Amino acid sequence: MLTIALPKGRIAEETLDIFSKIFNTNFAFDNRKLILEAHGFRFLNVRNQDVPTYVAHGAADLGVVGLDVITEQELDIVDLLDMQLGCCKVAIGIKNEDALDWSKPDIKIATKMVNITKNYFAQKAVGVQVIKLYGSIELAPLVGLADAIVDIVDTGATMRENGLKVAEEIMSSSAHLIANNNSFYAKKSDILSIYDKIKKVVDGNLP
Amino acid sequence: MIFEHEIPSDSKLYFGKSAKIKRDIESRSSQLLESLGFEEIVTPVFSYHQHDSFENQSQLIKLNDDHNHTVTLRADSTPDVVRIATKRLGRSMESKKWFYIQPTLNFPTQEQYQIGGEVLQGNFSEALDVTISLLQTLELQPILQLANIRIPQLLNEKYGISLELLKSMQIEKILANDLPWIERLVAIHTIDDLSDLNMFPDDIKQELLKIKLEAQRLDYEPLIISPLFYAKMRYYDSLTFKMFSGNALLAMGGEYVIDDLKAAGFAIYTDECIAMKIRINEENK
Repeated sequence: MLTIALPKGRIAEETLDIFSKIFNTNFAFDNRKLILEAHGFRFLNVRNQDVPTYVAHGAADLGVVGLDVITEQELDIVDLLDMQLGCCKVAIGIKNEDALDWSKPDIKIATKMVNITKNYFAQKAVGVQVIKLYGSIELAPLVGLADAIVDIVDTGATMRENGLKVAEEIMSSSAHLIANNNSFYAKKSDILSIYDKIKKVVDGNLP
Repeated sequence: MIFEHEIPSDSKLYFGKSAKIKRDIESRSSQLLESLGFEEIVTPVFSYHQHDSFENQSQLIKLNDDHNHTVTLRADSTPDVVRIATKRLGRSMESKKWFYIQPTLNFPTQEQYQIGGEVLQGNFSEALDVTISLLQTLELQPILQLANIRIPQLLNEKYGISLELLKSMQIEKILANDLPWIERLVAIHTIDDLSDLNMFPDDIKQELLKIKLEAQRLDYEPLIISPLFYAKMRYYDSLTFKMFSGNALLAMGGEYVIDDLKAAGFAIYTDECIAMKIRINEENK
């Protein structure tokens, strides 16, 4: 049996839709249940940021999670497939009336994504002071907590509604199918089999 | 605030039952290794040569000696065992087979007890056979994974697949390369998958053949073949193996070259073996 960690919400639903298409049956979590067993798979309903942890520690063989989360956590996992779900950008946001000032010796950034932020500014050889926040990131520049933010941008509506604009895009992200290193080698036939089936659906080639 | 009873994260504490299991594992292993002609060596915790071994230097705990040379705490026993055995002991001792029972230390505070061996001028089969015997002595039978680091190296050097893709195993991107045999290479999993190698180019075929011959020689189950596995130790240059159960890595080894000396070595990860023995004992209750 393959155990697959899914991030609660839309990506989990869309992933289960793909499994429903592949196996021609309905895959869905019951109410508030956190485990779903069907067709030789065990799905775990976990928080988005926890998916790579479940996979890296071997509690799940496979997981579906955003490339931004994979990049941020820098865990040793196998990156199987871009599932092209939940496409978004990781971007620097600033107040509408501001411009990003690269000449400053030190830029203050509020973000959930500390590693992505540090690596991006390090590549540009710009000093950065990162303030870790857990939510409502857009608030930080508005109240003077930070010069800018680094956050996920989907449609850009949240930033716009809070008087912010995208100053620079750091990376594109979408949900990826990942595997635990040992599971990938130990259960390679099963994992490559489901990889092929999912890829056919993602590429629109399911018969 | 640090409590009086607190120990640093990832450092190891054994007492009572677990300490007894640790002593038993080390005792049984040393007896077997001595019976196989290995000499014991204990190397310094402080080393000048660790940076040669690691791709990721941030794992090393660094300090400076009295001449301000960088010294690192031992994060890998192999380079020091080989250098001390060849450069210092080579003049007075004939042994080509050395074993050690000592921990390695990684940044920031990670300890890992190991039982390891180096066979100078030895080959892969010898290192693997000793490792299998050791784990059998400890009544453990994990999955044995055979690989050959020359295959990912060749894919990078001659077939244009980036080593970064191979190290992080980005399967979709690896399979997207326009090589008629790449899908088959990625899918190789059992010894039966190596029965016909004719579709592969000669250089890849030759390296797959080395895995095949090793797999055919062995009488071990469960055995898997992973041609693309990239062992992240700088000195490995040919066949490598890994033994694991679930997420626990119990042993690793392979052929390597240090200072132009061909050798083969292995390490048993004692902490994982202790955890597994405790788990098995509890399941058998």
